[in-house]
Amino acid sequence: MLRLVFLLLGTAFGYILIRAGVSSYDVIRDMFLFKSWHMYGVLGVAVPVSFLGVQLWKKLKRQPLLGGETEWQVEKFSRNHVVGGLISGAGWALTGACPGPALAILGYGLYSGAFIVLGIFLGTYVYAWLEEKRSG
Amino acid sequence: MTSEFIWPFWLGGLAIAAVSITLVVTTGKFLSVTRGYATVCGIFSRLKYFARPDLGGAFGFRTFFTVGLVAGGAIAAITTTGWHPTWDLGLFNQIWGGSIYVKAGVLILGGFLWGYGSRLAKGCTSGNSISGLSKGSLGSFVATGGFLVAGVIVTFLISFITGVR
Repeated sequence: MLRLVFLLLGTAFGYILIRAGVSSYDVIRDMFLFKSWHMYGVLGVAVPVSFLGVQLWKKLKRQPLLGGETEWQVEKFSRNHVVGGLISGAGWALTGACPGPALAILGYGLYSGAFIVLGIFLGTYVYAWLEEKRSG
Repeated sequence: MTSEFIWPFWLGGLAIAAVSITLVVTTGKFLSVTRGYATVCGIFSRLKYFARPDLGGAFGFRTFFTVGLVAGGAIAAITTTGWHPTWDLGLFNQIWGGSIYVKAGVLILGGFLWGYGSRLAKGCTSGNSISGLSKGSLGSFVATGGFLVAGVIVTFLISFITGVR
């Protein structure tokens, strides 16, 4: 059931990421060059609405509808948030796509998405590999 | 991507928030696309990181979300302009030139930075800027600032160096 919900919501999210315009190379570029405010508008609505919805749900103290517990715990702030955030932002500027939109544009029919997706897999793999070496 | 099919910003923002909230209310899990990349890696790799219980396993729910994202992109094409695969990527060729090798290099490098950076920062735009901020996480707030600051600096640098405004 969990898999089905994630498949359906993933499909909805992929569709939305295209229709919202946040998967367009030019829209992302124009955001970073302050030539278009579309992307800031999308985030400016998505972030506070999601925040209010999630916080309201938290206040109700209800279990998830499919059972289990909600992952309320938060990652403790560390230097990694700064460094990782900056590294990711450079990737965002080079690709014009976040990891979600990279998959969505691949489905949409933009072959270039395959390079971005491949790169994200490589980066994820190298991180995990270095973690394993570090922990021995 | 034809611009007439792009929703106004508020509709896009509301739709993204709706997915985030629905996921939490129904499953208790938070939106995080890059964790999906990690579970897909787990299909091909035995590294311990990919076996972390919070990821849900190689063929777990996060992998299904990843598959859904590709399907959703295809549905968006079919229901609007029709599915017309192309090598075009907006202004990319104008900025970097038409070579497929340069394109592969720039995009794979950019993807690599996303993949590595988002594992370090514990999430991408969905995991930090949507989910983390919804939980009121300080780390997610800082990471989001990092995405935007580095994005602006690198984009301005590329624009300056290549002369494409």
